[in-house]
Amino acid sequence: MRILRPLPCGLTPVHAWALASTLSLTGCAVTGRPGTPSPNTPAQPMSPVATGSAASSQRPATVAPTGQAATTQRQLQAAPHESAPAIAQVAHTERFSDQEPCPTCPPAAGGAGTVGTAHGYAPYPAFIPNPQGIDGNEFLCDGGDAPPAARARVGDQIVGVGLEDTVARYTTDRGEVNVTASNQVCLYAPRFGVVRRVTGAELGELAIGPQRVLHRDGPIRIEREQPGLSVTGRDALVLRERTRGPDAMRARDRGVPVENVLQPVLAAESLALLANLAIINRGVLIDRDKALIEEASLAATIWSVDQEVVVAVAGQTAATITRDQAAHELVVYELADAGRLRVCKLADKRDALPGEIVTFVLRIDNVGDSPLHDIVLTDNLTTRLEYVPESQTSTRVAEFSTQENEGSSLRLTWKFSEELNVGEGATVEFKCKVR
Amino acid sequence: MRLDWRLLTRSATYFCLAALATAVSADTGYGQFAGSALPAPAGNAGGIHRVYSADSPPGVVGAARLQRWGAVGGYYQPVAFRGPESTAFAMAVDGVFQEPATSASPLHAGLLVGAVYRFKVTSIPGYEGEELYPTVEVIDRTYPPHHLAARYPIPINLELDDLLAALAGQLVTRVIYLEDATAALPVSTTPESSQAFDVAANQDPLHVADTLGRPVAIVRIGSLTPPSHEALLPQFFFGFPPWVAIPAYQPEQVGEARAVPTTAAGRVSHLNAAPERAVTR
Repeated sequence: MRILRPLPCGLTPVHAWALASTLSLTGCAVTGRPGTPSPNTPAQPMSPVATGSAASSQRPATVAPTGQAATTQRQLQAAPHESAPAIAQVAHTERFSDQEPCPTCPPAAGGAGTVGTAHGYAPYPAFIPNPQGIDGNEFLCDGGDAPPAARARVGDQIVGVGLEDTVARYTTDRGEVNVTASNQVCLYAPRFGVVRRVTGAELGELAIGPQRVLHRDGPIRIEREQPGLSVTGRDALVLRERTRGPDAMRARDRGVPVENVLQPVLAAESLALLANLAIINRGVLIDRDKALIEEASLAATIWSVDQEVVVAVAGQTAATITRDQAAHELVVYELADAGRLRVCKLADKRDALPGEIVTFVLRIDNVGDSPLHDIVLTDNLTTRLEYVPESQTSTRVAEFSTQENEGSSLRLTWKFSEELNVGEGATVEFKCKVR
Repeated sequence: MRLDWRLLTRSATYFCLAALATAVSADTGYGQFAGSALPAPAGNAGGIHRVYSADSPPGVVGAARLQRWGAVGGYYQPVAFRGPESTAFAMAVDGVFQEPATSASPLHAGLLVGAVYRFKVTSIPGYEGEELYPTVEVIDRTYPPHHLAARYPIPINLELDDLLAALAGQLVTRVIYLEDATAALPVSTTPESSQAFDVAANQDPLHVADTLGRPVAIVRIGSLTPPSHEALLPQFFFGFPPWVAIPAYQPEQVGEARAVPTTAAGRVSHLNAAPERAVTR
């Protein structure tokens, strides 16, 4: 492909160095785009043999002169066993990749030939963020919910779903409408481009002049990268009105005596009673009020068990009223848990060349205590993922639809018509071609 | 106190001229070349002077990368050479070019970051018998996952237009960059395809590539013949830097003993060998 001029691009590459780097393809923890290596990873096995002239090398002292193994002391210590094939180790002293892998690292789940995380990077000192300069742009990620966060709107709409996001919207038995995100799946799939310039006598004469018009200045990239922030702000109000109203709160209280545990009610009554006492009004202790004072002191002791009520009469301290501060009764209210949906995303590959097909699996499960309905699952494919037509399947009845997104790819949506009971789940599978 | 009106007038004049020059340079982008009839390079607009460019002598940009942070020094970055149809590529060992490899079995080599390598291009479609001696300078590395370095080399996919332009006496500079994932082009590609942006002659391809991603290699195509005198060979080959021949990638077999692949020259290569200590742990 030949493009005559570069895209206007005023953005700096977004490197999510601060995000977590664990690329668990089988777990469901939300992870970030790679870029920060895990300290519990094996060494990078880049120790080839020099075939050129070592005598004229830029680093003649560290390059083995022949194909013989010139293993350094550190690498000898890192060798797992003596029967391993002879591997030439050259030119890698004092590098992070020469450090021994953590002996206690568990093998990556489902990882073939890896130790520690799914992608084995060398350990690094904790105080140096990303010391090797690992570039998150070499990875192709899909899933999760990057800011702005996805939110539910009226109907079946979900807003705030950016590229790479995979979220599900569902309604619980209580009437709550929630949005949950899946974990993030990352593949190692670097793609390279070329900027070409041809210079010569003829072109040099023609080049002076209007080339500045071709300069890549323009707001196109900015328009693409900043969609709909104001829309998200308006949606938040709608969501709160629907899901946090007081009516809904009352409707969900299935006969639970909430009134009995509201402390301010009793406190208010207690204060009103005390206000009528003579000792409070006029500072005079009368016999008629003694019973009330005793009762009030009991109430005060109940609500502030670490305090005592002391009554002084004519300078004489009365007997201190002591109370049994142990709990007479313990009432535990177990409110019904709201339904919760878990979305887990998997991929069948951990790396892919451009043109290869990757199969993604989305698994949703009702891990809550009540049935879920009106479940809408959506996956906004990133630019470099091209959905393979007619490749999606679902284990439950779902209405599948696609919509072109801002990344010139597709947003896949499944609307499940059936209710998802507690403990039940569904699996959605589809294929994508890596661009 | 007596004011020197002549001095004040002169100072005011200088101030006005300086303000005018600033305004003109800001409007026209001639900031670096004030007073010059030549336009400022388009890549340097905004008053930014970049120390390194694709016009820097071969090896300068890569050497600068070695001075920066990261595990770059001593790393053999896998690189794959491909060309149109029957084009063949050959790397040199001690100034002697090896057996050329065609696109059917592309030449894969591990090159040191910061070094400059001379390679030979032959069997150009329609121009058999012609030869080109481009250079490749790896200015940064990639960070592939465990044991997958050989599967994801930096592709140096030369196009026929590049070769024809070089044969016509022009200098073709190709800056290869790792694409920014957030600004990826929505086009289908393959490892053999080459999506090239053509920039104007007064633009810096290194700068343009820096805006589109992370530059990793610079290829300069223009040399037609090697030097005839032997004394010039070290300069021609940029000091004969070492490199690594990489065989074709083979998926890792877990739990089975694997033979260490060897190159055509009979030397052991490790780039795509299984990380035994990782597998057997």
